Amino acid sequence: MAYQGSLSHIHALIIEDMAVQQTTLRGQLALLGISEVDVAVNANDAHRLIKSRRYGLILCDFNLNQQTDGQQLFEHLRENSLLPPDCLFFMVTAESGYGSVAAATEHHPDAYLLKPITASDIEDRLKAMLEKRQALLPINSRLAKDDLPGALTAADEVLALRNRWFMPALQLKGQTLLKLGRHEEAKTAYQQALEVRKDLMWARLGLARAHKAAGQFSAAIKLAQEILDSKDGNKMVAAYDVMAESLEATGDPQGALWVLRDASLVVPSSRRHRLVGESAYRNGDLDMARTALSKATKASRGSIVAQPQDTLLLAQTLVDLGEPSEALRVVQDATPAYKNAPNFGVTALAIQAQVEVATGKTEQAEKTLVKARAGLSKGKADFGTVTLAKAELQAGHEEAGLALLHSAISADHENVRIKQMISKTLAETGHEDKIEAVIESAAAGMQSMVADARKLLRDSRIDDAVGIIENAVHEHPENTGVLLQAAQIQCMALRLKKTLDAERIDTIRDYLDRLDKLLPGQDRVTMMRRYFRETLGMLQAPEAQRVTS
Amino acid sequence: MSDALALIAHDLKNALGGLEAELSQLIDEPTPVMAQRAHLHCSELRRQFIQFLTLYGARTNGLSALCEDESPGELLEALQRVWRVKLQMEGSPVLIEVPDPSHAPAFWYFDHRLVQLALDAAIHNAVRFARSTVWLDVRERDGWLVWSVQDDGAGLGSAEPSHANATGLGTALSEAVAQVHRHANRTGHISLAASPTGVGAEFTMALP
Repeated sequence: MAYQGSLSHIHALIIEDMAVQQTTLRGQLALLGISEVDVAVNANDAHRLIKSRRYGLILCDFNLNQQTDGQQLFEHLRENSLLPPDCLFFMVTAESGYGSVAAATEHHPDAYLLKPITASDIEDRLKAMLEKRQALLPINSRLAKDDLPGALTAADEVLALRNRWFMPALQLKGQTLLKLGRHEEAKTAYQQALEVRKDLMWARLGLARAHKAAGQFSAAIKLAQEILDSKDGNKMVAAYDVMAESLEATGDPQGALWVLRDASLVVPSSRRHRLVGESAYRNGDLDMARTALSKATKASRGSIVAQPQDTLLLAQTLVDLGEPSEALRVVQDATPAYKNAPNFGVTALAIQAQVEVATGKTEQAEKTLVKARAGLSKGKADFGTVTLAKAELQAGHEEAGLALLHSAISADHENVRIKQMISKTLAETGHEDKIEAVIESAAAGMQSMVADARKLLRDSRIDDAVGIIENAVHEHPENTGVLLQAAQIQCMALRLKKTLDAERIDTIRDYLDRLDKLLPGQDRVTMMRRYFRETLGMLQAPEAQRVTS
Repeated sequence: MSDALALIAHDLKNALGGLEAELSQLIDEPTPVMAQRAHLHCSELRRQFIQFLTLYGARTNGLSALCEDESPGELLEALQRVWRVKLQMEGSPVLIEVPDPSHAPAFWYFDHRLVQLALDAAIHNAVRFARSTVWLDVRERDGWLVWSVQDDGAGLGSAEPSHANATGLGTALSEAVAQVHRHANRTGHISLAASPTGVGAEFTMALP
């Protein structure tokens, strides 16, 4: 039964650049009783409004006559979690070919409406989607609260009804199982969906992801390849990503680069160029990096999807290619737009110093370096730190440069990408002989600390072990390897002490939340969350028994 | 443009001429009834233009179906609702019935917009021939989703009714829509045959 309630409570946003269409859509919404309507004439406008108000319905024109089209805007909003979970997004398009645009992406708007549209077209889709939202609310509300086991139970309840919402519930179940680290059950859910419809893209992708998460990389690559070889899947960039991530995980970053490059040819968006540029730079393919990053910066200039990192990496690539003046121009052009962006200033100064060294302005370079150092309080595992280290090494400050690289690797010693960047920097500045020493010594320092903590734990010196690892976290708050170990050791402490220590539980939650931010969607974090849940489960079970007995 | 499309364009042009005549009459003697009729014919013409453009797009760029899980029953219900209102406004005696909605499967994968367009055309056709009733149905049969639109008219082979604006547009469109629905080596298809009840004709569209 379709949604029967009133629509008048809905606050709507129309994103449309043509005044005539704005009036038409507003009139049609008024016919449905929706009178609270805002209008945005471009993506930037829409972005601002969506951040400040809460909309229940967004009608967005696909052709915005700007560098950002409706689909890019939609994906940007989704990726940055700017759309509230109860907001419906409808794409309005003049082209029946939009289907092929939508087929290339995993993120579909809630509906697409082909012009000319009538009020009843909007009403039909709106009511159907409101009913869907209602039906899936028990699952989604638990997912929003991060109650994954609860979401799973709710999904099973919807599935048992075998009604209209069977497939979307199955999709949510698969996603939840993946988040829970229960790969085998996730595979079963996706296979069940494929029995209904063997060409379902989300299920095929889910199956590939479940294999990747389970460490079955060659199977994941094969499944992703099959998607790309299929008629409707040749533009599915998410499949390229599964493949690239699997290749990187098996120690083939060069292979990952070529896969990402293929994806950017299929969908030449600024985001795809950015991924290629970043990977090409790390892999030492400077020409490819330059081409990709130029495209990324050009495509997103002045748009909400523009990122300062693209410009900075392009400038660094140009310095490496021996074109310092071009590099400086790139940085200077972008400075007004990014002057308030975090880390832009330090990195821009570090690049400027490199340019000055390269062009023989040694004195000037020293002054610039002083400013850059002042902006960086502590070395991090990021591009800014490595860039400044490079400037220091080029200016002849070997000790300062190596210390910065050491701090970068200590800040996240298991980060393969940062290791790749550091090796590259050392090789380019004539310190090839120190690669092993810098990377290995920092990593070894971390590893021995972890080993000490584990040994103490084995000797039942639980508090001492926790003390060591907490210290490490305090020293290196963004070191993912340390955070993972710390979460595990704290869980083991819970198990050994056999008490639900609220403070310790909060600490572990904090570590896991940090890991989620540092390594979004990564399988290792998922597995640690699972271990944490199992630990809580073990401790809760005897407590419950005690209460009931 | 193919011959068939040119023929349809020609018919649309004639219908536009009819509307023009109605409007000039309206200038001379403006009455609400007349205005209502002209408005109806105008929206009808617009509907046909959308069909025409969809079909034209299908012939030139190829049509692509964006299949999502949809409720066949709800689509049929919505069509019944829209057509009841429309026929009432036109003062037509024809009834639109969905005799057994319980047959509809809970969900099926199809392109909602295209299927709606095709069924709308089929109902339009059936209404022109029907004496008193048009029956709508959807059910699963041997792994196919089978839509049916049945009328109680004089049946196939009878002389075309005198009703204006008759074109082959609807059938051509339904055929194009059915054919872009493909799954597991099966392709959708349509048929137009004598009704199994012996009275009138039955249009069916089967989607994999």
